Amino acid sequence: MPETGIAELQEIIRVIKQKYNYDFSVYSPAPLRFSIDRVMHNHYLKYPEHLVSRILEDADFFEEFLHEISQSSFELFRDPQSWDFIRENILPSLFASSAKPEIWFPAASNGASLFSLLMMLKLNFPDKKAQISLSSLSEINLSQISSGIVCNRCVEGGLDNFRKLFPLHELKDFFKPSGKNFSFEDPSLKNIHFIKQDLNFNGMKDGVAMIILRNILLNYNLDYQNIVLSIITSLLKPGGFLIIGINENIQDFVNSHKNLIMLEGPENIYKKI
Amino acid sequence: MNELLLQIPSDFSHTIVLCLHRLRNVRTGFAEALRINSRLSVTEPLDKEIIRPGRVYLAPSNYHLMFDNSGRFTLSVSEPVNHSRPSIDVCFEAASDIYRDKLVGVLLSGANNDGAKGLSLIKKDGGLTIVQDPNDSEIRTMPEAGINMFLPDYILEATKIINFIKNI
Repeated sequence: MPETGIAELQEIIRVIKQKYNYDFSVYSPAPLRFSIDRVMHNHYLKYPEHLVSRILEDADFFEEFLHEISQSSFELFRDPQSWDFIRENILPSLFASSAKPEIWFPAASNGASLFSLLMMLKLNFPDKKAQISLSSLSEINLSQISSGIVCNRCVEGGLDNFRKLFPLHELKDFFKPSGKNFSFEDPSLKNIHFIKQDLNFNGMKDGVAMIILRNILLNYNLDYQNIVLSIITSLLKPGGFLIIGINENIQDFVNSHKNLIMLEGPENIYKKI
Repeated sequence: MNELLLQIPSDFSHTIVLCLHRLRNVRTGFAEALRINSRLSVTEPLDKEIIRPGRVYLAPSNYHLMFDNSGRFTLSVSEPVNHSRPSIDVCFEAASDIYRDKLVGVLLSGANNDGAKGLSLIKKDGGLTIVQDPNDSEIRTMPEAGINMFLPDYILEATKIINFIKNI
C-alpha cells in the first residue's frame, strides 16, 4: 500500500490547487500516489503532513515537487519499432507536405523523445528542417532538457534501441561525457522552442503537424485524458499526426469524435482528418 | 504458469493477473504462448482497460501495472523498481490498496527479491498470501525473500498452488 492514503492524497491535491492553482485531481490516482511517496522518500519527509507543510511554505520546493512528480523513466527510442514507423512513414509525409513542419512534445518530463527525434532527423533527414517545440509543467524539466545533460545510465539504457535503428552509427557521436553524466551535443538542441505550460495547455499554438504524446496520457484519469485529447487534436492541423504510447488506448475518444483515424500498422499512430 | 492455465476451468469466475519479469523490448509472443494452453482469454491490458472476471491479464513489458478504484487497470512508465518494470512489488501494492481482503497474492519462483514486500502488504491488508515452496522452485531467491520477510498463509508446491486457485 502506498504510504500516502486516499485521504492524504486528497489533502495534498486540495492544498496545491488552493495555493498554486494546479489541479492534480485530474491525475490517475495510483501512479500519483507512488510518485508522491517517491518525492517524500527523496526529501526525507516521513508523513504526508510534512509534505503538505513544505508545499505550503516553500514555492521553490513546489517547483521541485512539480519536477519530481512528472518524472518518467528516460529511454531513448523507447519502442524502436514505433520510431522505425515514424522514420519510414510519418517524417517523409511531413516533409512532403511542408518545408518546415511544426512538431510538438507536450507535457514532457525528460528529453528522451526529443533527443531521439533530433538524432533521427540528423541521421536520416539531414537536409530537412522542422520547427520543434517542447512544453512542460516544470521549469526544472525545461532547464534540464535544454541543457542536454542526461545521466550515464540513461544513455546506456538506450544503446540497444539505437543500434536496432542505426546499426551503422554510434550513440557516442551524439552524447559526450560531461563529468559524471553525458551531454547531448547536437547543435539542433539550440533551435528548440522550450515552453512552460499549464495543465490545460493554455496559449499553445495550433497548426501543428506532428504531436508526440507518448505515455503522457497514462498520467491522467480517464475524463482528463479525453479533455487533453480534445485540446491536443484541436491544435493539430488536418492531415497532422498524433503519436501516443503503444499501450495507451484512445479508441473511445476516436469513436466519439471521429476526427482521428488510426494508421495501419502495429503502432498507436493517428492522423487527423 | 502453463500448467496453471491448462487446469483453470473455463467457468472460473475470478480475475487472474500475471506479473512476470520480462525483457524490455520483447512485446509479442508471451501472451500468445500462454493462450495456447488456457481456456480463459489471456491478454495484455491497455491503460484504463476495464478489469473483467474470468480473464487472465499479463502485465505488459516495460510498464508498471496498477489498478484504480473504478475497476480499471492503470499503466505507468515510472522508474523500474527492484530493477524491474513491471515490478511485482508495485503490482502487489497497488492491487492490495484497492482489493484489500478480497485479494490472493501468489509469489512463485524468481531470481530477485521483487514481490516479497508487496506480498507482505497484501497480508497486512487482510488478503491471502501464498508462496511457492523454495524446494519446489526453479529459482528459490524470490520465494525465500518472501518467507524471510513475513509468514505467508501458505507455503505450497506448484501443483498444490494450482489446486488451491482452482478451488477459490
